[in-house]
Amino acid sequence: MTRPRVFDTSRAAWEPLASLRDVPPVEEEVLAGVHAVIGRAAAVERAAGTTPRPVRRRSPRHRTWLAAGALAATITAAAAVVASPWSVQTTAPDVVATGTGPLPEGGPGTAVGSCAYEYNLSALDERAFAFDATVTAIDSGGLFGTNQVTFQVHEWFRGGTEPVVTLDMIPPVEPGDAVSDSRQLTSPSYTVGTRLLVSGEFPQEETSLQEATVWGCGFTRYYDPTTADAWRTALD
Amino acid sequence: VRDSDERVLAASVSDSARFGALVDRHGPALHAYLARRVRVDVADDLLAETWLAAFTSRTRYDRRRGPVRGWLFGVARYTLMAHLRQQRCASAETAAARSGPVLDEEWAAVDARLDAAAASSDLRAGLAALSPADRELLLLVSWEQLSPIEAAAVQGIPAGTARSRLHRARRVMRDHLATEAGPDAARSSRSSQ
Repeated sequence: MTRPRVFDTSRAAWEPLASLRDVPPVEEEVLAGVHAVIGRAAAVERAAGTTPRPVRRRSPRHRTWLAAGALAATITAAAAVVASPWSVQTTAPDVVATGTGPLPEGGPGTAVGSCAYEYNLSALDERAFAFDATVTAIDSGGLFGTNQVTFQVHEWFRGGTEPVVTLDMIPPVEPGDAVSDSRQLTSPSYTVGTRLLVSGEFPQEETSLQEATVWGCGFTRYYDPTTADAWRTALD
Repeated sequence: VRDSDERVLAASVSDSARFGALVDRHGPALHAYLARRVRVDVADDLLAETWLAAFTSRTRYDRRRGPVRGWLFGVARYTLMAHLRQQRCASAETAAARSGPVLDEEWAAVDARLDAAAASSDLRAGLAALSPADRELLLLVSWEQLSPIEAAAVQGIPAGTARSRLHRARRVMRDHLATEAGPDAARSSRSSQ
């Protein structure tokens, strides 16, 4: 006979749930791998004499490296360019922050591409929001090392109507910067006054710009009239 | 006497070797958090992403937003949500399907876990009745054993709001589980409110 549960209202109501929390303990080599990653990042930091830029998302194809565990520490820099953007310190090209200039091509299969999606107008059409705007303020207090960037919006192509918006963005790359995330190479540099075409995804709430993700990899790029026309048409 | 998390984190800004102590202290718990929501091999990768993100942004930790442990779980949550969002973008066929709440993805993983554990239908129904944010908060306290203050830091909400939501979630769960326990327990549950 099954013993009926005695419901004690003084105890946490989620106690039955807590009994389902068991998972296998983390393997030692996984933690060793974490220490190795941190050690490499610290070495990069020391060599650069600065704190590395924060890391944002990587594509799943970059996730295989940890299986090698502590061996990752011995990967050569050349191999690591493809194996893990974390383990590499590259130097930013002479990107100008004046709001012009080409962006390195990103996308799968390229040396700088930890991008899950290759930029094109069809892929752009799948983004939740897009606008043409000029940077009016930059605050370093964004989530997890990002910048809070305020824009004066000239035109919304999709996803909003506000004349001024503030979004978290990966910090800009400046000439000679140490780059710890290759996606920084596929995002435009910016400063106050830079005019950008910006696109990305909303977070958990479908239409909230708070904590929205600004996409790099070409999905946010320098403004020029021709590209703006193309965005307007694609996102119409 | 070991240094507090906050002291270790502060010391690691000038001495990066100190950061490893935080990995030792909280690495297993963060891995468990991830492993309850994604496959273990994916959790392995996300764990490394989490710690690197924490390391590279350690100078931006703000004690006013909560304890270090809550901040670390917040970084893990951020990493997890980004992963789930990316997975959905890769698999969903329509833009509408890709733009729904990411916490729904977490619930799908949790639901599968409950299914595998043959959890009671009332337990699952109780969880399903919660809002995604309340359910996440409940799981942070129940499964990750975070304090309400730490759980609030994970979600980026005030501690008072977290307590209020936990109270609401507990009441919903109590009602569902009391129903399962029988009429007497249900009456007891209602009378205690």
